[in-house]
Amino acid sequence: MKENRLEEFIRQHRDEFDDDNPSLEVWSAISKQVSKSDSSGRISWIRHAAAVGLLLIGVALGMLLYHNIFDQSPVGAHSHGKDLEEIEQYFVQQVAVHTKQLEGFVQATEDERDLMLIDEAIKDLKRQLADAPRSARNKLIEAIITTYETKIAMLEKVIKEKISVESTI
Amino acid sequence: MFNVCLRILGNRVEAEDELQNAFIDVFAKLSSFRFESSVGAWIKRIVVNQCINALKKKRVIFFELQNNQPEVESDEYKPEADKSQEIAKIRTAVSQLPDGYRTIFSLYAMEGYDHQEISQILDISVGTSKSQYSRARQRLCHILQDKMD
Repeated sequence: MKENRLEEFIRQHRDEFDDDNPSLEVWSAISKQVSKSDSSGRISWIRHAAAVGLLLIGVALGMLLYHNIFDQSPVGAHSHGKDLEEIEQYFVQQVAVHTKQLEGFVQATEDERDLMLIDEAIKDLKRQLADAPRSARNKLIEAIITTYETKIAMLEKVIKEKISVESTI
Repeated sequence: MFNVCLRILGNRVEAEDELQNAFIDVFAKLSSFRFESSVGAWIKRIVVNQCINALKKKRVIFFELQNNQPEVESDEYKPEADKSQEIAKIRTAVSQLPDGYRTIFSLYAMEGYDHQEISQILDISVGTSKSQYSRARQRLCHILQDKMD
C-alpha cells in the first residue's frame, strides 16, 4: 500500500500522540481487583514485568501496585524519605553487577525489548519527577524503585537462562 | 495504553472502563503468558482486543468489501510547519472519524499493526483491512483539509 506523508509524520512523532492519562479512579479500581485476586504473594519477574506495562500507563498505579502487590519487597521498608540519588545509586550498582554476569551471552530479542521497555519507563518516570509537585514526589520515587526492581528481576531470569544454557554445553 | 483505548473507543469514560477491564484481564492471564512476544506487545494486544470487543457490543461493524473494489488513493497530505499544532490537528481529526474508520486507522497508522494482524484482530479479510484503511485515510485527509480552509 502506498504510504504518504501523513503516515510518515505520525511515525516520526509517534510518542507525542500519547499525552493523555486516565483518572486516578482507574488505578484504584485495578489495584483493588488485582490485590483481591493475588493470593500467592510471590514476586515473580513476570508479575513485575506486567506491572511495568501498567506503569507505562501512568505513575499513580505504580504506587498502588507497590503497596498492593509488592508489599513483600525488601526495598519498600526503607524507600520513604530516602533521596532518589542514593536509592538509584544502589540500583544502578545492582544492575551493573547483574549485567556483568551476562557478558558474552546473547539474550532473546523479547528479553532485550522488555529490558528496553523498563529503561524507557524509568526515563519517563524521572522526567515526570523533575516537574512533579512535592506531594507527588514520594509516589514517583516509589514507582521508580518498583521499575528498577523489575529490571533486576528480569536480569536474574536471564542469568538463570544463561546458566541453564551453559550447563547443557 | 490509555491512549490506545482512547483512540479506538473515541470516548474517555469508555476508554477508562475498558482499560480497567483489560488490565484485570492481564493479571488473570499472567500464568498463561508464553513468552512468544514481548510483555509490552502482549499487554497491548489484550488492551486492543478488549476495546474491539467493546465496539462490537455497540454493534460497530467492520464491513467486508467485495474483492474487486479498488483501494482509494489517499489525498496527498502536507503537514503544517508547527509540529505541536499539527499533532493536535491530527488527533482531533482522528477523533472525528466514524468508529470503524477510526479503529482501522488507529490500529495501522498509530499502533503499528500490519493488515494481516488487523484482519485477525477485527476478524475481516486482509483486503478489507486495506480498503477500509484507505478510505479512512481519505476521510481523514478531507477532515484535515477542511480545517485548513
